[in-house]
Amino acid sequence: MRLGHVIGTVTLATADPALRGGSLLLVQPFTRDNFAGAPALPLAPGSTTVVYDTLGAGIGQIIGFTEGAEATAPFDRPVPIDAYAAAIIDRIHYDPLTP
Amino acid sequence: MQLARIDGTITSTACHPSMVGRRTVICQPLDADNRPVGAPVLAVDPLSAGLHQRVLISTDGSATRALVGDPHSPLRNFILALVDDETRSGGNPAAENPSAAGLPPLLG
Repeated sequence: MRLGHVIGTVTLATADPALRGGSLLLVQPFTRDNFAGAPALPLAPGSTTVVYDTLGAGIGQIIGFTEGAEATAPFDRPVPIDAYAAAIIDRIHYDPLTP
Repeated sequence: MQLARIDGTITSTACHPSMVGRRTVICQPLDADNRPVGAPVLAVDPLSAGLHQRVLISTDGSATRALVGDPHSPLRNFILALVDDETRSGGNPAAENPSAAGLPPLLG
């Protein structure tokens, strides 16, 4: 699982029916600087990920998201997703040994 | 399995049911010289590892689902073991691991 800033949402015109019930978030994965408190903007290098969300996370929040096969584990039906919001983060305590 | 160091913790209220009541830690992956590599990842910690402790992370999703007892858990990483010491070739075994003094250096 990685952490990421929710920086937007994705709205679909036509979608696979399996995607109903959740929303899609634009998520910028955390770099080490973000763990230390750096804001999401300006965007750090690295691709932005689209994450399927059933928790109701909003723009500006930090989520923990899981990728790959585990992203579909919460469903009892086949779903075409590979990133899933597992947690909305309340608090981060980060104390790296070396900066 | 990945060598890592515990660099913090997170708390979450709105989360998947399989995370409720479980300690989730921030793990910094390390290279063979214990230097940070890449961005930290999150892992479930059933061993109550201490801050800055070196650990082994398992990335086996099925093992994690068995650990939390939920076949629908999206979790993949968990703290598999706490590291005491490791020795690698090219280093100085006597300095890094006194018990290895007197042994021939590893090949490679």
